[in-house]
Amino acid sequence: MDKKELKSSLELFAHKLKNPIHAAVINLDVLKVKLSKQGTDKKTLKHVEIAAAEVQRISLIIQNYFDELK
Amino acid sequence: MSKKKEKILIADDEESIVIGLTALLEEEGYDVSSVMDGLKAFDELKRQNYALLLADLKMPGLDGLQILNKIKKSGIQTEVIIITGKGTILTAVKAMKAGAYDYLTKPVQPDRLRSIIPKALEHYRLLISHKNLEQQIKQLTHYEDLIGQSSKMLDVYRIIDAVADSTANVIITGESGTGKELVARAIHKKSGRKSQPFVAINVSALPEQILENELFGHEKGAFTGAISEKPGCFELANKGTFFLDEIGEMAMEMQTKLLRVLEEQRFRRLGGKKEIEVDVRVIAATNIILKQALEEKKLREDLYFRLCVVEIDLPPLRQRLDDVPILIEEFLNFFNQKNNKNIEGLTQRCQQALMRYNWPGNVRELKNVIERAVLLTRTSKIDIDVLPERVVAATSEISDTFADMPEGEKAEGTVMAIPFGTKFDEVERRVLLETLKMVGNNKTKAAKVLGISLKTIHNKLRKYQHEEK
Repeated sequence: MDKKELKSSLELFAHKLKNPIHAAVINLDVLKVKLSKQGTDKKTLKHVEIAAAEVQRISLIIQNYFDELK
Repeated sequence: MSKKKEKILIADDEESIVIGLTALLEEEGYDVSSVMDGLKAFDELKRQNYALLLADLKMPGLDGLQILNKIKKSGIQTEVIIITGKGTILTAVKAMKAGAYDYLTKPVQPDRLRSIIPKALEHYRLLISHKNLEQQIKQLTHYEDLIGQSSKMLDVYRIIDAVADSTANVIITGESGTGKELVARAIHKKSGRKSQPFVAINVSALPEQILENELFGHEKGAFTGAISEKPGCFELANKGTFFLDEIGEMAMEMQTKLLRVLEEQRFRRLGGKKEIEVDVRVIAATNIILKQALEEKKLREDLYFRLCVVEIDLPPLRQRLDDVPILIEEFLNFFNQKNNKNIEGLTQRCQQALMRYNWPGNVRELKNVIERAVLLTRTSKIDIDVLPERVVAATSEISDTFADMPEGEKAEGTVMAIPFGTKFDEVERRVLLETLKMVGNNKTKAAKVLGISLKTIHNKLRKYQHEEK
């Protein structure tokens, strides 16, 4: 695999991750809203918030990597 | 609370995204439906109204941009937000150009979604209320396909309303191009026969034998070339309305045959033995003056009385000039759309020229003039240079006398306003003084423009001077 092929393969890889990340971000947000409406305690909610933040972090890491490739 | 009722359609081929977005928007109080491919999205939008479509750019069937294009083409009213994986400027530009309200890149931030949706819905509401207003205005100026709100047209609408639901035969009179067939269609659409056929025939366009064949049809073998049976207009119009245009041009013999059908509601096809019974409402039209036609024996009296249960006389356009601006606007919109143009309107002098012309060809002529003007105009407004010679010539006769005046002093200045109720002497005084002003106080010219003698001008001026003292 030459450099050019590697680059486009990585771009495709990054792009393919967008859908699952998108789904995770939306669904974790829904979970947070629903749990807080049900009166779930803050400690439990904190775990959801961490998960959501970490998914966002994965997204950022990929985005940065993607930008650097260009 | 209005957002609670608004319907949003989600189109995405990933189930986990559909589930998430649906729940998120339902939590916000919207009425949410979803589909998992582009074709289904378009079908659903055709089936019922949605205020907003949230569509993934990449989908099987149709992709987001293709749906967007189809929505715009078919005239479906809905806002569209495109969600795209590639956050490139090119995709964004494409989406916005195709008419998307906005686009979002994956992963979509839930708060961004929550803030953008109410804005898109507000936009949708404005669009809908604008459409409703347009519709209301249209209802004020339109009656079925007839356009106009002058008192003469309102009279016509009233008669149509009154007679539409009866079975009475109607005769419509009016010059060529006044819209006699539109009146006939309006009567049909307003009647209980509206779901039945409307058949129209122009009598003057056909030789007698062909006309008879058209009206009554023929049996197989009725004449050379009659290789199969053919129903005529009366049969085709059964239970509906039959419109006979230019009835004054019909040969006497045919008028006799027509009268028999009107009286008995039955007839035989050419070469046929069997009598065919029909239930047809006949509306006839003519552009000749009926009284004259009767006197000249062009129209059988008994046929006239049979047809003329109700007579609707359509006014020529020159008798309803106040409808000209509405007609111009309607035709301008129509031909703008047809020719993919965006002409905003008419220059003042062009509008004035069209208001002064006497329109011998009536609405049809006005329509043709506007079509031609739309095709020829290369600027944002139609000017007199694209009007046909006859229109400009007829209207410029009035201002010919101003022709040798310097540019800038003529044209726009040729109109003056005089309030209703002004005494006639005062009207005369103002017109005379204004005209003098326009021709640079040249009394000979003023006399020519006003069509009076130089002596009269001198006398009047002396009188005014005397009054002022």
